[in-house]
Amino acid sequence: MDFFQRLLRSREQGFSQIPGSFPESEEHGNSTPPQHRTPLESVLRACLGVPLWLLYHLFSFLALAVSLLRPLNRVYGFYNRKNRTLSHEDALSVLIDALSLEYSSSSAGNADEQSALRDSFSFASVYGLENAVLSSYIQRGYAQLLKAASEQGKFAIIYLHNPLADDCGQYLSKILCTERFVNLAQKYETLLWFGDVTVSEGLQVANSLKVRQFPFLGLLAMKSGSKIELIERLEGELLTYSLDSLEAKLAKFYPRLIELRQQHQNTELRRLMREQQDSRFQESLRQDQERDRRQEAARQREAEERHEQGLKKQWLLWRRSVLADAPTSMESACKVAIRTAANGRVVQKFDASLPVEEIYAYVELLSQGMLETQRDPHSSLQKPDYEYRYPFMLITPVPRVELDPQAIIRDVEVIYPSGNIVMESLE
Amino acid sequence: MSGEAPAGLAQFPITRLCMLTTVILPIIASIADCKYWFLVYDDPFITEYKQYYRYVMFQIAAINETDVALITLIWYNLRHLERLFGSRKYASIIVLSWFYTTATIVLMNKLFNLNPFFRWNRLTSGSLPTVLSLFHFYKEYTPQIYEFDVRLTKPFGLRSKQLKWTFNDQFMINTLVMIMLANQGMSGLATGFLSWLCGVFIDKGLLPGSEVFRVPSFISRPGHNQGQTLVTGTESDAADVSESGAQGSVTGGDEEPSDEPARPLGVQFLDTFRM
Repeated sequence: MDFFQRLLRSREQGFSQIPGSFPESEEHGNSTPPQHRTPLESVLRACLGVPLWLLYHLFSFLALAVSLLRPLNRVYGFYNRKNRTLSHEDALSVLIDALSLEYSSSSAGNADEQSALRDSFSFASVYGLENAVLSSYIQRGYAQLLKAASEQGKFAIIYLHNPLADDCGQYLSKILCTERFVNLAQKYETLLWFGDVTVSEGLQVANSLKVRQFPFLGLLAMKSGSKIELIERLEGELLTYSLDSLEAKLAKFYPRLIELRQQHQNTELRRLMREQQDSRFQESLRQDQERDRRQEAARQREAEERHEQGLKKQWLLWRRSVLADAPTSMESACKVAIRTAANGRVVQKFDASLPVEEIYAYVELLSQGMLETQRDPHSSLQKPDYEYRYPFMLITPVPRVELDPQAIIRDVEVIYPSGNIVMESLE
Repeated sequence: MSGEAPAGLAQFPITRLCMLTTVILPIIASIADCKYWFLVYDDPFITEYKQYYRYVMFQIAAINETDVALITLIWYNLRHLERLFGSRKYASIIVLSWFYTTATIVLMNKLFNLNPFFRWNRLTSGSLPTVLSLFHFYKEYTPQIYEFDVRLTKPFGLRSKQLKWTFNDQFMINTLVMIMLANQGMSGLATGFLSWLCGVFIDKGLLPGSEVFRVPSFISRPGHNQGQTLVTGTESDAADVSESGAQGSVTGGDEEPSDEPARPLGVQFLDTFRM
């Protein structure tokens, strides 16, 4: 469209491709060089220009006319004034009421023809939505009918009512309200649904079932594969109609329906069993997986512990190799009495220039029984990449002071030059 | 499309009659060179020659071939009405519509021509008035099944707004009627409006007869509509039925297919005129 407009209005200002941009100024526009057209362009312009110009204005006029004629939509609304957006339940109850009225008016007109038995049935007493003979069989919508028929494996009877026909009341009294029809419906437990062809749902059903005449009575039954099939249709003016063919069809298809119902039950049973088996399998699988996971975790924890023990051992060996000997001279020595849980009271001298950690290491090596071996001063043990945590803490009893391993012994007055130390286990 | 009435004209005898009449009469008139029988000009046919029979004739055949095609298609779409009313009531409504629209149009034509400035000389040709009257019945009693929007985003250049049209499943017949009205000019529009009003009045009972008047039941052939049973799906077998303990037997027509059996064109013509 831009192309056409550009072609039509090429002498006017150029189109800007950027939305919101300013049009170029006139002076700048005048300074553009004169256009040179090829002969082909001139011919095309001459041939296409006028028709396109005419078309453009014709379509613009049509669009304008459509927008001006919009108020005429109210004429269209003339036919939509009825409230046709009823829900399926409401539409059904409206139809049942209308049919009851129709039946009563038609039976009043033919009162002399009615038999005593027929008088005992009124439409409302048979097909009313509540407290009627066949209430439990009436479905609220066509889709619901199909679903129920396929799930429960039952026959379904559709009655499409046509309020515009001349003798629709006769149909009600001569077929639907007869004892035979009611007995048939009860005997075969057929599901029922009524539709009105002047309502959208009824018309859709009529079109999908290709109904050519109304009123229409259709019998649906389940086919294999949970498909629904129309097995009998009675349509048109049924003045001399009898229910024989309907009963024959019901009797003929009933064994098949029973078989399908059993198949359906078997399938359902198999499905339930399969589901139970599946759930049991899933449960045992879950337990197995849980046990495996626990075993794996335990194995991993054990390996980690083993590794840590190895590292501790290595560290202690290294610490033993670097543990300083007791000083010989008393000037730079600190003499402490250490009370441990396992070894009782031990008196030992330490070099005062060393950190308190030396005492900790001594106590740990003592408790591990590693002081009995002689230290090898030429040992080439490397310090392992491991931070050893002592499982105890050293304190002085009076006053109670916790000994910091980082501090230098000389700086700790409670043990230098001599003092008492008690070992307290952290665990 | 699932929203459409069953295709074909089986069990729609009145629709078939109307369609065939709409098509065949103009052809015969054209061959016999008597198309002018179906024309109505107030001057000179009525005022000067007093050929009042033309009032009876003008709705029977359309002069213009486009009108023939359009009216035939509209008759086909109106077959849903025959399904709703039943053939006999449908025929009665058609006769009533034909009568009332003809009377209304003639009356309005005479009244309009009393004014000295404009003259409504030419009446429409073809069954446009009857069809428009029936169109009201169609719209009144056919619920909408689905609708869809057509949106045109800036269809006529950057300055135009978005256009949105909503169509429903009846857009085909709506369009055909609009084209038919436009095809006959102002006369078609005015006649169409008057005929539509006639349809509304007939439906509401203001023009009496829709509940009382019925054509003689010449279309009810014995055994045609009564107890008709059609079977779809599995084949039915009368022997199986009797074996399964059914009390009665399946009525006739059990093995008939659901659609009309093919008939040669000549038989269709003869059937049409036999009625």
